[in-house]
Amino acid sequence: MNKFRLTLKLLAIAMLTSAFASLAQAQAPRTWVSGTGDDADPCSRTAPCKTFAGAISKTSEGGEIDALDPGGYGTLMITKAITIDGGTGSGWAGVLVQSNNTFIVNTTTGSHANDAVVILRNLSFNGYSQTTGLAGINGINYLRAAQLKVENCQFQNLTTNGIRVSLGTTSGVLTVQDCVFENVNSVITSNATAPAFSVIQFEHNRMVGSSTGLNAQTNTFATVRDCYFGSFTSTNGAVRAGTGSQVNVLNSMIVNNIVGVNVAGGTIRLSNNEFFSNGTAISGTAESANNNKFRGNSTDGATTNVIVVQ
Amino acid sequence: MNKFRFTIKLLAIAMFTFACASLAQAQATRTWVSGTGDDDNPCSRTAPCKSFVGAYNNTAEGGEISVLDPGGYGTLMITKAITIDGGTGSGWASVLVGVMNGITVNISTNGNHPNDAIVILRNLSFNGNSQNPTGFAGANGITYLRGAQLKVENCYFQNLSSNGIRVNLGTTIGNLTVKDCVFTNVNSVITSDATAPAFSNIHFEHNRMVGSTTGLNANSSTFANVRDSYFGSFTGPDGAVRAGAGSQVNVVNSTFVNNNVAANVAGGTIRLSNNEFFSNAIAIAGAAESANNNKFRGNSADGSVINLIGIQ
Repeated sequence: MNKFRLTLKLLAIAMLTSAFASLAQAQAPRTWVSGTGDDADPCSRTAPCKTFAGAISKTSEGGEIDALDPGGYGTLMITKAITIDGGTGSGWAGVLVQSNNTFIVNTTTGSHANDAVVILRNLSFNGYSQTTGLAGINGINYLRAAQLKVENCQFQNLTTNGIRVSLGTTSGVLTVQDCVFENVNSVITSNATAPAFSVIQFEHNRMVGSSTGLNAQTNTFATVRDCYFGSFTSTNGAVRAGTGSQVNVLNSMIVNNIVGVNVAGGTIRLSNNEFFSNGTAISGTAESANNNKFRGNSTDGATTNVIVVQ
Repeated sequence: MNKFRFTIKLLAIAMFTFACASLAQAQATRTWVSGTGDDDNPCSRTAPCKSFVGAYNNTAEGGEISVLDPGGYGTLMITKAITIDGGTGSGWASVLVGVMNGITVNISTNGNHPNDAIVILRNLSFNGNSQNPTGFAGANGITYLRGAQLKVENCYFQNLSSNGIRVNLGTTIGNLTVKDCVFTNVNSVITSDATAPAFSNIHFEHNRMVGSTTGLNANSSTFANVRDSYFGSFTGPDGAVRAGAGSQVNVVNSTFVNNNVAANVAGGTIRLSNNEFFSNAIAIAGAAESANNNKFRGNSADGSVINLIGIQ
């Protein structure tokens, strides 16, 4: 055999091999997962990965993970800016939560550690609270990130929270839109340590039971619009404002709850809501624009009409 | 042939067979169905089943059945806590309702959650084929007989000769949530009954329905809340929304148009806030409670309200 040709061949093989190696290790701005994927793959459109955890290590900071087809893509720790879109249609992504947190958002790495944006869209979180031996705690555990956006997600059968916000001494902004919470013990529990604070934009979400709704526990500034709160059974209420917290509630329907809104050391402002068929519609005194409707509650509770109408 | 090797082979075959058998019989937390699946499969992501019935038997209590691709996955009797998600797009699942009920929810007294079971049905289509010329006509899309909570989300109900959802709880209490659903050519959207002191609790939000005969009928011991819904062209005397004996219906931010009767106070209570009643024959039959913020025009008879709803 011609020695020169052999050398060329060897060289070509070596180049090809190193190309594959770099493909497997390089981080791409967009990666893909599939129910039939393999985490040993580069997570490309044609060679997708099997899990979110497999894909995130191959996704560059600020990049996006997309789902190709229906699948259970597993739990995930997020430490950098990222977007995860489960798609709809054939790409609807489900996450089994088993005895732990599904997604933990704790952005501590990369060049945007202090202004990281994390977007979670079109995902389903099922905690399987009625399956023997399984019980998911939190759907999403939000510990650190400048902004977390949760859009068009389904949370169900979780034993603790749909979303747990526990920011400590860093401030964060959480947006929750077009989500459904079903049989989730608490929809959101939010804490921050002053002077840090948690800001929550909560729009067009629907939730029925089980115990507590949106609990702005400490140093939380929440705005609720166009939401449905039904059948929450805890005295914490469907909406609660704790110490150092303010919650604005607009155009929402609050029905069949033990407590509708609970002014528990903070401030709740109400405009154009319906409170029907609750045990106690308002616990404490809420601020009102004199345009909320009350009927069929055991106790309506008190408002002060300090919201300016002009 | 070497006897030892032959024994090893037999052993291997036996082990493989056992492994397969246990795979087929173990119940998984999540199972999958596909239009090209097979109910002899373990209903895994890579070896999906063919029908909801096949998958249901392989799904653990409180588990989930997911849909891989479009298909007709058949009728089902549900007796344990479960979630069924038909997906959307190419994963859209449909149930052809024959001369019986599409999905029946009747949680048995067995299992670990007989009294607090949650059943979630999402992204499903129920077609009763009521206009099939050979007399094929589905009765109810969903029949809800027993179960602490039933959630129906983003489903389509069409061409059903009786009800979209029939709630008939007897002496057990139930909670039904219906969201983002469409009811088209369904004889009655929902008929709900319970025997006091038990009751039926209904959260009915962002649903759209046009005809045919009756809308949401809180027939007995039913407490219903309706928000952001559209009721059009119901032709029956029961009306688009009806509150029968021992029933209360709160109706908010909804549109009632072109109905024979829109809101029918028939022994129970109906509360109205911020609704539009346009172009009905009778907007309100009986007297409804109001917050003095409902709009009426173009009805043959508007009917009467009492402005009892407190405003603060």
